[in-house]
Amino acid sequence: MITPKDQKEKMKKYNPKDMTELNDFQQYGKETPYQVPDGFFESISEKTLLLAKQRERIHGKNRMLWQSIAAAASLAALFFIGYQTEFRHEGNVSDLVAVDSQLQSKTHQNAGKKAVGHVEAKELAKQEPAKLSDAQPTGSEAISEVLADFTDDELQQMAALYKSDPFIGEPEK
Amino acid sequence: MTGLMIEQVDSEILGMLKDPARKDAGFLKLMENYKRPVYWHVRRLVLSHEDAEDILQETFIQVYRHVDSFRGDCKLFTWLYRIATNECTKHFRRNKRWKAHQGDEGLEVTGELSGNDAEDSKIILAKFQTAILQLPDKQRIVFNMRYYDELSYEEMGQILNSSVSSLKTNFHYASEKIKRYLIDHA
Repeated sequence: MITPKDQKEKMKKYNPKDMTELNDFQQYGKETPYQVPDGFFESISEKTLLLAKQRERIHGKNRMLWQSIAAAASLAALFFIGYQTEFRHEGNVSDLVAVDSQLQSKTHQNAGKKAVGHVEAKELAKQEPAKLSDAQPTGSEAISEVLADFTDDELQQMAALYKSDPFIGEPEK
Repeated sequence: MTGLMIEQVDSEILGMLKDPARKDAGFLKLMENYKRPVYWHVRRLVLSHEDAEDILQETFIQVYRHVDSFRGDCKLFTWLYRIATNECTKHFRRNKRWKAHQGDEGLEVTGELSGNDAEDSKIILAKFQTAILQLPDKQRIVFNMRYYDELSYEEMGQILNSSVSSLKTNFHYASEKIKRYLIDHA
């Protein structure tokens, strides 16, 4: 493979010290004592090509298998996350409904017992602060809370004012 | 073959390897051109023919499978030698008993060639090989590449990912050790 011209070009790159080192072993030559089985170099190319193609096929199959596994795992993960999110959301809604109905019933009871109702609504609000803070306030809840803060006298005064003032019941334009 | 001709042939082989319709033909051409130098490079390092055959096949299979990743920033033969040398290094690491194995193989080689009826030239050759086998891995790789494959330090640097000065140092130490061994066992 190496021609005299190539050898000459290589020689230019060598420094004299390297050349001396290479010449040190000139008497031993480039021959090696190792033997190669007969016909080895004639058959190795075809053999290696077959092996390479086989490896490529196996690798292709493995790649497809791993891609399928990865896709299935991703779907399972998405389904699990979706299920968890939905479950948690439903749980929150049911909690809110329970709190709301509890508040509603308490408020109705308080309508009968006006003086006691004010205190109980405040206690209930203290008992369920976390749940109340999570809940979106609805119209009825807001009114119940506002009314619970008034005393009986104040409520009576407001009712009298509502009857006497002609502009309170008028709708906004 | 001149350097320019080699480059032309390499570029043709690469073109064939990257074309699915001509990939197999390109692979056979690649093997035809490089199987002998790569085999001998590997054989001088791992000694056993079976190991050398496995590594030779693994080297060319790697090329077949990953030819698209070859960026062309070095010669094709440099890339082949790099893969082959890496496979040899992996082989050394895998084979933990390699040092002992190396010793046995070395003695076997020397024994076969230095028998009573062996010629003087063969005895000298066996002694020289045994001296090379005493070297540490890196020095042996560098010595073989420089002495047998006649690679320049720049080419060796690309293959072994080492600096020229480090390779020169390794070659110098290897030469000194071989000379000392040959004097001691004269």
